[in-house]
Amino acid sequence: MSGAAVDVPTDPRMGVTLRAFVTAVANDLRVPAEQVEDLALAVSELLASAVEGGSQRLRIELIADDEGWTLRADGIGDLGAEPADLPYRRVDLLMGLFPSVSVDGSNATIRSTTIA
Amino acid sequence: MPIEEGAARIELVIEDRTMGTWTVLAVAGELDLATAPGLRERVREMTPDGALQVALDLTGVGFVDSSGLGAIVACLKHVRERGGELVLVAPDESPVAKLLSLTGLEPSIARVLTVDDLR
Repeated sequence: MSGAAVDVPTDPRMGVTLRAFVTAVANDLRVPAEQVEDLALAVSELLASAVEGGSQRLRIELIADDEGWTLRADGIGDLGAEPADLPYRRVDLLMGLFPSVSVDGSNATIRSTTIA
Repeated sequence: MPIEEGAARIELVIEDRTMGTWTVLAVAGELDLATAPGLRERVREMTPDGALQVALDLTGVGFVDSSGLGAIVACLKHVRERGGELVLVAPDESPVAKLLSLTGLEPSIARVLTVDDLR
């Protein structure tokens, strides 16, 4: 099993850092390119949810094993909330990107069995 | 790996120009929770002499999330409430076009592929 984790304060400016982190790790783990872009969008949504939900910190872990990859997020706030001026919930967008997403309190997990 | 300070920053650059009756706001950078308020404020500050016709040229936007899309929708509402018109300029493969499709909002917001389509 390989991968990496990052733990950041829930500052909106951390979006760039988180997207760069997940993109670099995903590329290193040979995650398919189309999923790398979706992962960057997913962590941006998770950070926004954490900020708006009042979490203090957000931890993102992306690991791979023989069968695929898993992203775990801790401190995600309320993914069921609708972003300002939009008629959908962040969790719905994440499910559109990755149907495997599961939410348990302040934690979210995305699992994919696809590795290049 | 804990990170406390020193977050990387990408500023949103917005440049305006006039094309016929359109005010074109060319946006470059990444549209997310950190930068979206800047776009919202820029459109709210617009006080044209005539009708409000705004084209948001997002060709230079390399990333957009729900916070960015929310800002675009807020701009659309602001312009429409003043009897104006707002159009997005973004090619089909752009991040904003993908997000509009993914969220089902594509029919709600007018979009052209290039600024030349505004003529």
